Amino acid sequence: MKYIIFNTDRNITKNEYNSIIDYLNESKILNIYSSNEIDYQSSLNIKNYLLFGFIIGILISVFFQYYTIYSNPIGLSSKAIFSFTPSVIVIFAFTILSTALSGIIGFIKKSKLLNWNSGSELINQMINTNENYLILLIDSNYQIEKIQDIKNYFKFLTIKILDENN
Amino acid sequence: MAKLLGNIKIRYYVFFTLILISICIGLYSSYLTFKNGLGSWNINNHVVWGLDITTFIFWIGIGHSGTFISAVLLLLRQTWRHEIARVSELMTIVSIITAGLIPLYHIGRFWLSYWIIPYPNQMSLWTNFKSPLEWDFFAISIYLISSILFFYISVLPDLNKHYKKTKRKVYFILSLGWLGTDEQWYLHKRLLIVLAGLLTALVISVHSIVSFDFAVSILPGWHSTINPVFFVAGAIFSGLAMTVILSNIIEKMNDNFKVTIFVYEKLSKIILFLSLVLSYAFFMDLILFFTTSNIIEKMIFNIKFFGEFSNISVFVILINMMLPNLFWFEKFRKNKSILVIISSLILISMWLERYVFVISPLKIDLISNRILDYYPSFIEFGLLIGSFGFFVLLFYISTLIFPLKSMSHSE
Repeated sequence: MKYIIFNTDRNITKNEYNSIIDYLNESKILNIYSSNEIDYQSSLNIKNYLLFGFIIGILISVFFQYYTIYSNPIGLSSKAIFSFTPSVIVIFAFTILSTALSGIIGFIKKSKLLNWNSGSELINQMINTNENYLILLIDSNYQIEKIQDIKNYFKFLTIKILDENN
Repeated sequence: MAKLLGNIKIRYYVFFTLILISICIGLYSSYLTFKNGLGSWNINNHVVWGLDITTFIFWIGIGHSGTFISAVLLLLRQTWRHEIARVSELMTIVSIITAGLIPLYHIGRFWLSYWIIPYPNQMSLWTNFKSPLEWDFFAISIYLISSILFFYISVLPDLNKHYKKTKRKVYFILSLGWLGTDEQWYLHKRLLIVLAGLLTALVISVHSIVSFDFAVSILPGWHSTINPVFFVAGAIFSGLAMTVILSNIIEKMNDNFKVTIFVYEKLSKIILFLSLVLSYAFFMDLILFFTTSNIIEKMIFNIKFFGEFSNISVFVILINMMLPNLFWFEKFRKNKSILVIISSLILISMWLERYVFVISPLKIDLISNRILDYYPSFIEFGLLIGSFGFFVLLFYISTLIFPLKSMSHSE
């Protein structure tokens, strides 16, 4: 990990702030953890969540049917309550919903959503509190020429790049 | 409302006045329905499903093209869909909500509508799982939830963009802290494809299940295996027509929203294809008439084509099966005005087609073979008009809240 420190000796203007945000969005500098494909395949995988949701959906629907048949007070046979078509519809409904919800939970968790104090919000916070520097975490594999680009782009700022240990 | 409207022209005031009038008519009809019960409608012991169920099927059908454009075309890698994807997704959600109101009226005592939800209770009474109406509940509620989830995930990056533009905190919260990193885009794309796959299965299943309301009954005219195909094709057909009309209206009201003629041309091609599918279903019906020995089936056919509904049937054939054939020619496909006119006619025609489909088998007394009377009352028409007003208003408000342009495509 490396840190980029945007050292501002003065409060930066609104326009400067906007240009930083735009630049960061375009250059994807907030890509904190790696941008290589190997990591995507290993860490950014929601297949397990989908599979979990799928299995849970089937289990819930089977339990639901069992509970419904078991709890009927007038002693109807299971066939009188659930035949093939309603069973399929109930399983289909619960499975789809459960898979979708589980996939969304996986998406939120893996893509680090709901992390309110990161990225542009962090920058915003620093500017609002009149801090005179901005810190961004970037991946250590991030190309050094890109960092040079940033330095050239933000000439109004003094930029320092530090390693994780510094 | 005035704040929402801003400095818009006089024709928009006329437009919104019409919407408000239709909503008032709908509310007054609702009041009369709940005050006097279903006796204030003209449905009777034979024609138990009237205008309301027709309208219910109509709105559920409208909801299908949204998912078709968003999910099915996403899986088929049709990138042109982005221009109208957001409009059609919003249309889906709003039309399902509108459709969901209709059964509440039909129940009569809407405050007991939660009885359809299967939940453990002190009497251990369960809903009838063998009833297609219960299947409807499962299918439509799952479809609504899934459509909202799909829309929300799809609009997530745009909400963040909107936050940066408007600086309204609510958009930041709704965007769940979206930053637009590579990881987030990567996962977003993956998840959308998975959800699209799930929704594609739902598109086919939901309207098939709605068609089961009729197909699994033993009533001649309804009891047919062609119904699921006919319902799904008809749903997407009418929904695409609604997408064309709404896109056109928004283009006129919102300067930032533009749909290219290329997209309209694509839509007209799909409309043409679905028209051919509907023609096939119609001819299957025709073959059934000539081959069946069931006298009631023959009577229904006579009512549809030579009796009370003959004018409507001719109109439906002209609009649904013949008029879209103009889209074989490029100059019609590329003419926006013609596309809008044809789409409007398709909407009217599809509603009428469903009306004939629902009512005509019910009009025959199976014991005496007499043809019975049914004319919708003012209240039933009032609820229909109100549903249109409600749909347009809710859709318009949602277009003001959510960004209409999809940025995920450009990103």
